[in-house]
Amino acid sequence: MAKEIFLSVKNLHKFFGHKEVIHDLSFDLYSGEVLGFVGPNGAGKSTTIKLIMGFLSLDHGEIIICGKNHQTEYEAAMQHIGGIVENPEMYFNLSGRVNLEMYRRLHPGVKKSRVDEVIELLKMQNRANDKVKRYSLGMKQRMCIAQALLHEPKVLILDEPTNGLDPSGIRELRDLLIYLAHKEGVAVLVSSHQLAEIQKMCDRVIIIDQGRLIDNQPINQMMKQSEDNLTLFKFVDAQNKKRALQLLQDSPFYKPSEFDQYSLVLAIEENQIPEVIFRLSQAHIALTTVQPHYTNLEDIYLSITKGGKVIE
Amino acid sequence: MNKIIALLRNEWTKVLRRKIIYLVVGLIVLSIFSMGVIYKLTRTIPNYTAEDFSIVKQNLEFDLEKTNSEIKRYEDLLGENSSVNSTEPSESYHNLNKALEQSKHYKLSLEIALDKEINLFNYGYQTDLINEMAALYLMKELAVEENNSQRISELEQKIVHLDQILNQNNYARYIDYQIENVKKNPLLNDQQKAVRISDWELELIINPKGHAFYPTKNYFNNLMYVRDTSMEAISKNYVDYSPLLPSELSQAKKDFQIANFYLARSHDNLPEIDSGGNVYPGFAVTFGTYGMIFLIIILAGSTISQEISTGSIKGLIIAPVRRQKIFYAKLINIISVSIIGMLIVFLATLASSYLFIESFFHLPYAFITGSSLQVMPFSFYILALCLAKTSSVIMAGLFALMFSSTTRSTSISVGVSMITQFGLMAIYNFFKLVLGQSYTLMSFLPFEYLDLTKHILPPIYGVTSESSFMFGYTLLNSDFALATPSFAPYLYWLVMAICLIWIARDSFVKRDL
Repeated sequence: MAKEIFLSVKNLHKFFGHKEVIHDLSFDLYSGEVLGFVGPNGAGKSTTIKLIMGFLSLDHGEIIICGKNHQTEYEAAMQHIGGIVENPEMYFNLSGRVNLEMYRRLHPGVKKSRVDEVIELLKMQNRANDKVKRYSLGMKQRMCIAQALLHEPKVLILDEPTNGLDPSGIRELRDLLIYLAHKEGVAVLVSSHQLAEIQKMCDRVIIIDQGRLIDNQPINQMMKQSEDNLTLFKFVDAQNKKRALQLLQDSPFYKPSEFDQYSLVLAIEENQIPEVIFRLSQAHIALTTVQPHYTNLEDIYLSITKGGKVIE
Repeated sequence: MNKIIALLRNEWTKVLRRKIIYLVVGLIVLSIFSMGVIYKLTRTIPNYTAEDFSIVKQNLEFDLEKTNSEIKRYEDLLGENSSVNSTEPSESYHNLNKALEQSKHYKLSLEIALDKEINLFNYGYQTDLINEMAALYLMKELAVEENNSQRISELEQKIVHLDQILNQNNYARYIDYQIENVKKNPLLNDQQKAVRISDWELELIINPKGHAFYPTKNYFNNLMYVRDTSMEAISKNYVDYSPLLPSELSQAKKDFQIANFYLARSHDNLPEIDSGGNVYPGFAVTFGTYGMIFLIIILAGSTISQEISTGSIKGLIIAPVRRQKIFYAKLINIISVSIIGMLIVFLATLASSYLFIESFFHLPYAFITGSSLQVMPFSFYILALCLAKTSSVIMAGLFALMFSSTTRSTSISVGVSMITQFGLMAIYNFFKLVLGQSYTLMSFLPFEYLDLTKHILPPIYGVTSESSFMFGYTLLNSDFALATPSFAPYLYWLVMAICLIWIARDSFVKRDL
């Protein structure tokens, strides 16, 4: 399937008072891909999503949705978008079904039967007629996702979609989003702090901080860069770890990746492990464990943002 | 347009699922019917017949004794006064003389009442007759002193005539007697005579037994008051020592026509009870209007702010609909709820009026278009009244919507709107009542035109229930002096409405969520 740009964000700027919260942010979202949107708290993820969804006005820049300009052809552009912004909210004194029916009325051409379809898809048949105020957070989340899918949008934007979902719900949602993207060609943007989930479901990841784009690349490529042979060395105590660090920090295989109070991660070939052990034993540094270490998105994210701080 | 209709359907879905709507509307309807039931249960048939003579005989005798001693005292004082200064009568001499005449008149009245065994204090036509007879006796005494035999004869004839009416207790003859008096009155012109004569003829129809009090007395007296004051204003071109403005003269002519219409219409089916039934429909509609204002403030005051605070607005914002369409749907919803609410008030008022109010008080509404008089049936009048009152409900809704949109706080928007509508309006109306003549200056205050009812359906004092209950406008007084052009209230209302809508729309559409 040829990839089309379904959502294009160009040179976005947003000020709250005098403070610039989004600075020259640009990215594209392609058909059939799941794009992870990550960043620390206050990085500007929700602001960006609110700008795309029409909650906030643009100070500068351009948003194009399926070829329609967000500012000049608002209704035509928004026709292609579905999503959840921040917490799942609906009319709490109405049932989930009535909420969906009301939303359906605003999308000409969507049949009534589609309400039942999405209710079934999100497994909410038994509770659809209950008032939303009686729903748990997870149920609200499911109903909001059902609402977002109701008009079969080309672009699906989900802000923290796994909030409140149980493990099986998270897995079902993940499978659903992957299915929609890869089989139906929907462009999916997922903002989340659940980096493990992002890693599992996304094709590409964007990292932003302080309103600026920090990284934007396919998840495979991102992981590949980190696919050096990593080995974790665990020491008997912090003192031994500290001495090992002093001994090895100038060596070529030292990698300032994850290390806790007792551990160090070294980028070394398998055949170099005996040498390292020999050097440590010569220095009377006591080891408890030596094992292969696998990198995840969380490691990459933390290394890029230095635990939440942007690398200048 | 389709999207606005879809949004409007959604708004109605939300409205119809709110319990407060059913609660307030239910209470309004229940209250309107309850007022009707209470009115029907509590009204009692007053005793229009006078107290029995035997009950008041002692009082009459006591009064007679007292009056005799007063006459003696006045005569003594007059004697002293005339001996002190016989050249020129002093003011106190005149006053004493006048008091003496009054006492003599009262004494004669008491004597006739005691002689005929009639309760002088019933204030019915018999009291009038006795008073008139007493006056004739006094005139006869004067004629005897003057030795005017022709005058004596005339007066005796009149006394005999009145005596016969009194003995026969014949009210119809009393009316004939009054009509004859009017015909002979040289101070009245033909038009005035015709009016007086028709009034006496009407009196016989509406009060055939000549009771002092009867169920429709206030109603007819008010009509006659409007007719007489407007007739006087038209003929003299003055009111309260001020020349009439052209608009005032035109209004006076309209009032004259309208009052005459009500006086001339068929008066069958007169009520047996002095119930104030003409007040009830207007009171019910006014009460219903306040109820609807309360409801619309809650509804409009939360329509934007509550959805923003609970986050439920997100579903609307994400939808492919421009925010201004969302706003206009909410606005139309408030207006439609106002209209439908007032239609419910109309139905409740109409039903309760037919159930609990005498059919005589199902008064039509007369009004003037051009120079011709038009009449609106009772049910249409109540409908028109409700729709006219909708102007104040809509305005209250627009206030609340504006506050809801600008403050985005339901408590502030509802609270401030409630204070404005029920607090400041009450203070304003209080001052309007207290200041009386200065009220004309208050016509320039903004509150005056938020409710267009009196401009759409001008009241006529004492006839339509609208006027008589709340403020009791007297048309030929304060309302006349600073008459605004007829379009001004509508223009004011419209400008105010547009401003409120504009502020609310701008705040909702342009501000970030």
